[in-house]
Amino acid sequence: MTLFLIRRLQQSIVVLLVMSFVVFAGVFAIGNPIDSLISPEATEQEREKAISQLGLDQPLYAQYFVFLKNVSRGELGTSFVHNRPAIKLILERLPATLELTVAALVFAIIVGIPLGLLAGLNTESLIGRGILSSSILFFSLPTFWVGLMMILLFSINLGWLPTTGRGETVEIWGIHASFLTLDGLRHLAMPAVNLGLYPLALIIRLTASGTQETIPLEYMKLAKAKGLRRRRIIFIHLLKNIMIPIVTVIGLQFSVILAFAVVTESIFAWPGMGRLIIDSINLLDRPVIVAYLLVTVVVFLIVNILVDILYSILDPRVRLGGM
Amino acid sequence: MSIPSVQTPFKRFISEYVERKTAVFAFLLLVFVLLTAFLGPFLTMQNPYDLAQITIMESGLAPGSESIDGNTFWLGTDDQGRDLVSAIVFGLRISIMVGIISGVLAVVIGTSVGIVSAYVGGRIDNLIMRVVDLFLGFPSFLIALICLAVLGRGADKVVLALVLSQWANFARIVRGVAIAEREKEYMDAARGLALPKSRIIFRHLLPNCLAPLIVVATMNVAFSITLEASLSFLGVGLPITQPSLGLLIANGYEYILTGKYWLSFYPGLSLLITVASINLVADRMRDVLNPRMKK
Repeated sequence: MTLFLIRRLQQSIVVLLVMSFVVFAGVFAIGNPIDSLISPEATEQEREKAISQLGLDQPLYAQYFVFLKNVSRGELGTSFVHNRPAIKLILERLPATLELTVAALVFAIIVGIPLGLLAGLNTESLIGRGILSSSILFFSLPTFWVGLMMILLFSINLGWLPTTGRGETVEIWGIHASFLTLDGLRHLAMPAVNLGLYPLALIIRLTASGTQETIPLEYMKLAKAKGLRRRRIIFIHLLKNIMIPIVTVIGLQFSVILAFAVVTESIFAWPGMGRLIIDSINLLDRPVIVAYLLVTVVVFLIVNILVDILYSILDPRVRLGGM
Repeated sequence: MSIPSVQTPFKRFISEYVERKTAVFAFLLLVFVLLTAFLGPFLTMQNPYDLAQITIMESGLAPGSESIDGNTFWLGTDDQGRDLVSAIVFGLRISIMVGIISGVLAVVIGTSVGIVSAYVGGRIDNLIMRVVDLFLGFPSFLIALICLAVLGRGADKVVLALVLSQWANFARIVRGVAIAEREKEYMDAARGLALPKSRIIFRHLLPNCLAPLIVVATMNVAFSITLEASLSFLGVGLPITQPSLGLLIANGYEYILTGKYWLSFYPGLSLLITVASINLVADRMRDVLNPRMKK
């Protein structure tokens, strides 16, 4: 276990280094920041002085090392627009985005696994086929459009739910959370469901196909022949064995949802980092874009390690040390 | 089937496919959508982006209203007097073009990389797969978003972003299949004939690796269309001169609070119908092609 963790951390650091270089090259080296930083009236000498002051006359790898040195000290530059350290801007908004992402996943799991089981156990019935067909529909629904239609229905026509913001938040360990107040939950409901529809469809389909493929297997027949109760067969023998692909997908989906949160946050004006990144892209606020990408990469890497650990708990055949 | 008859694989595929009515319906729907997209400009009552053909007098009309010259705006008009049906047909055209072009390019590039990687093997294979892993480690939406953040808006840039965010998927799938195929006897035969490498790869190996790709490639077109729509909706995708469905919805978003729901509802519905019909067809194809689902 410890060996596994050390190895994974090493791998993660390599990935992080590669990504930081890609991000650096992509965001900083393409285009010329000088044009936006120096007034066009500046003389040739002033220009050259500014370029050497900023280190832009150095070769790319030298610039990259300077960038790395700053990153290791937690300095990712100051936002051109907000005039505050970029990393602070991102980290302030990270909890809101994580809350939304986790809420969407929880929704997808709680609704998806029972529906998937139901569909998988009754493939030929109307219910089963209905669930599977509608899961394809969820799969195809454009997230942003559904968000708009939800606002139209629940906020404008019915007036049940608020359209924007996080609502009242509670502070725990210095982090604001919406899910602990009624008002916050009302604000969280629509964005979370909106963001959760895609993973919901995936979980339904995976659970259903896993169930379908597992039922004819020998150990399921044995369980039935032993006269075990149906509930025990389904929840212990079946569910435990189909959980492995589902956990993988949930783990992979976490990063997908985190990325798609950008869309949902834009629609519901959820004050997370996704909204910030769209604004920053439109305003070419480079330090914020870099900070967002690096923070996202770190979150992905952590989630991937957690998923691997969860594997070994679910499937004793997976031995982490040997990887 | 009581009498075992000789069937070509294609005929068997068709006869199994049509067993499910929803799948047949989805296929017909898809044909209709594609026809509309390709023949669209000949069918609509106006070119919604020709300023001579629209008039501000007819702006913001509700669905079903009549125009000055006696036509009906079945889905209403926008704030500039554009017929929404025409705008949707034109938008559908752009969305589908971008989806198909980037989908096909991603498949071609991914397949070539994957198959060469598998055939060559060794260090090059290792290196290529590292790059693939790096791409797969990130959600395609994020990759596309980063690309567009760096490149700026534009149809060519959106296609590039979509291809970059998808190709690795295909490279991984094809490599997996190709590695299994490489060891088979017909490959030994091809090598034994001392055929040139490129011929072995593209004439012998490639055709045998395509089957698992068909379903994924089909779904990928649907995914590309959705991805493009999302990016355009956020204002980082296509420019306003190329109003895809995503941009139409973004436009309608501004009017949602004033009650002109149709401006965002119908473009989205068209998008949904397009994407859902592709996915339903692909889903049925997978069921038919997957030997594990056979009873």
